Amino acid sequence: MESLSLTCATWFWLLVPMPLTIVLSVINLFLHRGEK
Amino acid sequence: MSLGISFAFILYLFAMMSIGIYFYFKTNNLSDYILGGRKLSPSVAALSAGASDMSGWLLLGLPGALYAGGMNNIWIAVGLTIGAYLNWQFVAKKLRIYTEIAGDSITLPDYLENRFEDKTKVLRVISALVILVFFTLYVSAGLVGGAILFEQTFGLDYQTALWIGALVIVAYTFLGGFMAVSLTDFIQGILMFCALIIVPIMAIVLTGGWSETLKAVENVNPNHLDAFSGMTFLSIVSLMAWGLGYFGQPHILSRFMALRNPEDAPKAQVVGMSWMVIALFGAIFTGFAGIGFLDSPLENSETVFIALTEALFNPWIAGVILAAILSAIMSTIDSQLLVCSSAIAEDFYKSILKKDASAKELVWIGRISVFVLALVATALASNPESKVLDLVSYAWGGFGAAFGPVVILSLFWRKMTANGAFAGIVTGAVTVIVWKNIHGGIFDVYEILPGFIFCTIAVFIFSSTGRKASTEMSDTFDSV
Repeated sequence: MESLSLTCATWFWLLVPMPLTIVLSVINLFLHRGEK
Repeated sequence: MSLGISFAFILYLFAMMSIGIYFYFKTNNLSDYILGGRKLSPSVAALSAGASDMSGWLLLGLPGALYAGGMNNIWIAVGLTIGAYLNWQFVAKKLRIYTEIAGDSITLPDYLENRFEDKTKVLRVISALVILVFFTLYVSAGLVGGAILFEQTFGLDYQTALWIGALVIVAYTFLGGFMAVSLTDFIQGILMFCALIIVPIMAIVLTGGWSETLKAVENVNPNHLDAFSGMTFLSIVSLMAWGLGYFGQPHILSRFMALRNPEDAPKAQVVGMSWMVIALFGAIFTGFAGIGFLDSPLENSETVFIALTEALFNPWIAGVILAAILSAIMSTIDSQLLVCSSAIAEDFYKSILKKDASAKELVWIGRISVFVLALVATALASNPESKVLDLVSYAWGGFGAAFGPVVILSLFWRKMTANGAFAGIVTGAVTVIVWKNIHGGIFDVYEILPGFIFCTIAVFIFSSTGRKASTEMSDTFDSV
């Protein structure tokens, strides 16, 4: 039932860019872990 | 008025006031009052930046937009998230280091003056002026939001609700200063976060699960399921441009400056971004679930969070959750009042009127400023027909366009000069004001976008003409 789901593009823009910023922030934290 | 809701509200307000009174006795100088003496831990800085940024928009505006229009309202959330990420990634740590090296600057105008060795005070005064004008409007918009909440929840009349809300907020900002504001922001950030997780989950579960929710939304309007429904490229760009505003918001940048040490920035970034993304998802799904859960359409779509809370929970729990809305509004207003008070105490009083003002005197000037500004903002808010969201988007755009490119380039371009900064601030602010007042075609794009672009161009042009950056200025830049 295509009409009963969000479109693929909607899912993509909802679930990719925003969570990706968390992943990138965690990577940044690990890259800078040793700094004092 | 329910006893449970009233009790939870009063308990919450009492706790916030106690924090203000505690920090009243801990505040010794203006740096303590404005920046908490740069002692913020990463998590307090992160949640406090998030809570003071998001305001009632997160619990009233965004769920309301989703409830009224469906998924095509996610673009503003996507744009804001990307903007906040870039701000943490590229601005936070560098600004924290630079503000300390540049004469231990504690405010944005202070930083700009020290960064560009501006002896004329022009840069300080123009930026303090932009702050005062836009924040007074911003604060009054927040007070209107608070008044509507009190009015709807307790059945108070608008004016009484407005003055009660204003009194509480001013009392603890007045007493406790930055540490009180940051700590209450932290608590408010947690409360908002929990409310935004619990409300949509409960609404979706009680509707019968995710597929039932989708079915219910489709019955109302199938276009609500599509993020691109009714959108053009320009309208998507315009909504995503909200993210540009982050680089110039003085109340958010002050959280970066107050970090305990620069190395804490990546930790704060993880906490801040996680909080923001989850809270935005909560707000999006609150509005979306509301479409399916609520039987009759709401008169005011922005009350969807309140309506769901009252429908889903018993009054005692509803009281606590509704206090989260008050939290969101309070945490933004208090931060903005504080930045305004620092602009008056530090940028006008100490810099121009009385250079040898004592630390205690400055704290009191700051406190009196909070009181006076709040009075002006409350008077402006006393008309319940005030267009809250218009004022908020205006102020957000004004700050983003006037300060955003200036802050970024001041951190990354060694040849930038005071002339460039001055021209950028004026160009950005004027572009936003002019663009806002012209309608149709390209002028329907959110004014922050042209403001940001023109400000950047002005900084480049005016930094390349006139006096070049001094050797000392370049040396300081290189040491950061």
